[in-house]
Amino acid sequence: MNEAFFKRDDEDRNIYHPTRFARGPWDPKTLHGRVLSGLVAFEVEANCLSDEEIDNFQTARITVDLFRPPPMSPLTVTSETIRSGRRIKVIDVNIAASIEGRGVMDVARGSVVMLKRSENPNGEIWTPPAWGIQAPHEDRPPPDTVIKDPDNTAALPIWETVNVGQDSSMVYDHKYPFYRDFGIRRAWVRETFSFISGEPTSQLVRVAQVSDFANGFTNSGTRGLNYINADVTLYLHRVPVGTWIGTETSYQGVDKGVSVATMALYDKFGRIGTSTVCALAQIRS
Amino acid sequence: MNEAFFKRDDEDRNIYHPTRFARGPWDPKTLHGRVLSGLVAFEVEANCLSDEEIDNFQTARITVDLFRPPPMSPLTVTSETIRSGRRIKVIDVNIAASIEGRGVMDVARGSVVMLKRSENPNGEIWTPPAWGIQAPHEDRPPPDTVIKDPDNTAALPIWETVNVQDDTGEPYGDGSLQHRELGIRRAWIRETYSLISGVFPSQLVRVAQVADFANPFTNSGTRGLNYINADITLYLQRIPVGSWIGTETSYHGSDQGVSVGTMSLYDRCGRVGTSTVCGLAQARS
Repeated sequence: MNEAFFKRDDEDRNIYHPTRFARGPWDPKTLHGRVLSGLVAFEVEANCLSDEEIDNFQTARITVDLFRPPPMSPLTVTSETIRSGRRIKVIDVNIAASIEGRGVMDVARGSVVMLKRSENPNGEIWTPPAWGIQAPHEDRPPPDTVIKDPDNTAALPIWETVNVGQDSSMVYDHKYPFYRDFGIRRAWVRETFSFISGEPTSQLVRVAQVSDFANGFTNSGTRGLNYINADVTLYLHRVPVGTWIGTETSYQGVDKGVSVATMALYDKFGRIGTSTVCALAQIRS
Repeated sequence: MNEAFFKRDDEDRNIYHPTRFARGPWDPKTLHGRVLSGLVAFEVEANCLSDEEIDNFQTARITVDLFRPPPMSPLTVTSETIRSGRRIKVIDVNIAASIEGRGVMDVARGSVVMLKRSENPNGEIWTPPAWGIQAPHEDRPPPDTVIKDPDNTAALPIWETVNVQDDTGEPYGDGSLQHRELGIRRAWIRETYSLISGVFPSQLVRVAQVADFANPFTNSGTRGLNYINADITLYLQRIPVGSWIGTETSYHGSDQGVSVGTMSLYDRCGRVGTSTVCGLAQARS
C-alpha cells in the first residue's frame, strides 16, 4: 500500500488533495464515491474523538449523502459534534469542493452515530444462519500493480476483489463475473491503496470504503450497472478484523427507476453489518 | 381512525401537541419513537414539497436520529431543503421540545432523500425470491377499541398487528408471541390511530411509523426487548398500497451491547423497502 487516494495538505489539515487513483468509474473528472465515505470515517476518527472514545464507542452508523459528482480537486472536510451524551455521540461531517463555474459547494455530507459498548443483555435473539464462507488468506499475494496512466480514461480496479463461486463457496478470480451471473453474489474485498498518503488505514476507513460497493454489487445485472447511488448507509455492530471484507447481495428492489439495494458485510469471523444505498436509473455513457 | 397521536396547534402550525395515545413503551412520560418518524414524513409532505413534487419524487430514504427521550409535551417541527436538484432533493427536519429543567432542546432530527421517478433501465437484476404471504383483507374488522386511561401506565398497542404463522403463511390473531419465538418473524401491521387529528394519514406517514417497529421486531428474543434504538433508517423504492404493511425479520447482529437490526417491508403487491435501526443494550425497568 504505497500509493494513496489523498495527500493531506501540509498547511491546512482540513484540505485533502486527491491523487489520480481516486478517480471514479463514471467520469474521469470525478472522484470515486468510495473515497467520500472513507473521508467521513477518517474525519471522525482523526478529529472528533479522543483515544478513549475510539476504544469505547462503536461506530454504529455512517450515512453519506452524495449531493453532486465530486470533482478531482481539493476537498475541504469539516465536522461538528451534534450530540454528545453518555452513551451516544452523533457527528456531522461536511465535504466541500470548488466546482467549475459555481464556486465552493458542498459535494457530500456524512452523519455518524457512535454508541458506547457495554455487554449484550441475557437471552437469545434470532440471527440469520452463519455465512460460513472462508476468507482468503491474509498473506495472499496482492494482484499485479496497475498504475493508471493519468491520461487514460479507463476505470481500473482500485481495490482487490476475490469472487466466491456459488456452488462451492470456493473463492475464484474471474475478472467481471458480476455482470454475467444472476444469483446471489458473494465476494471478498481488500484495499490495495492507502487512504491518506503516509498514514495507516484504519479498519473503519476500510469498511466505509467497501460500503459504497453496495451500488455496483447489488444494482448491476445482465446489462451492467445502470444506477448511480445518491447515498450510502453503513450499519456496523462491530469493526471488522483482518484486511478482507466479505460482501453478499442481500436485497435489490426497483420501481420507476428508483432502486434500494442492500449488501451484507462480513469479516473472517462472521457478519459485522450491512450497507444500503438508494439510487437513480442512469444509463452508463 | 377518530383518535390521533397529535393535535396541530391552531396558531403556530409548527407546534404539535401529543395526545395520551402517543405514549411510548419505555416510560409514561415519553413519546413513542414511531410518532417521531411519522412526524418527519408528515413535515416533508405537508411543508416541503409541491403537489407536483409529491407525484414525481419517491421518498427513497428517511433517516431519523433519536437524540433523547421525547417528552409528552408540545413538539416544534421545522425543516430545511438542503439540496434541490433536477432529480434529487434532500430535506432536513428538526424536532425540538422543552425538556424539564433544561429548556428547549432538539429531541430528534430527520434527513430525507427524494429521488425523481423515471423508468427502469433494460436488463435483469437479481432480487430476492417473492414473499408470497397474503395480506389480511382491507375490510377486516378493527380490533376492539382500547381507550387508555390517562393514569394507567401500562403500554397498550397503538396499532394493529396480525402475526403470520411460519408453517402456513396464514395470518392469525394478535398476541405478544413475537417476544417468545426465536425463528424468523413475519407480521402484517395496520395503523389504528391518525397521526394528526383531523388529517387522514398518508401512505408515507403510515410506513414511516411502522419503520420504528424494526427495533422490537428484530431486537427482542427469549428475554423480551432489551435494546433501545438510537435511530431509524427507512429505505423505500415505492410507496405501499393499502393499509396493511408486511414485516419480516431480515437481520439482527449484536456485539458488546450494540445491535443492528433490519426488517423487510412489504405491501400486498410485494416488497417496498427495508428499515434498519442501531440500538443500545438497555434492560427494561
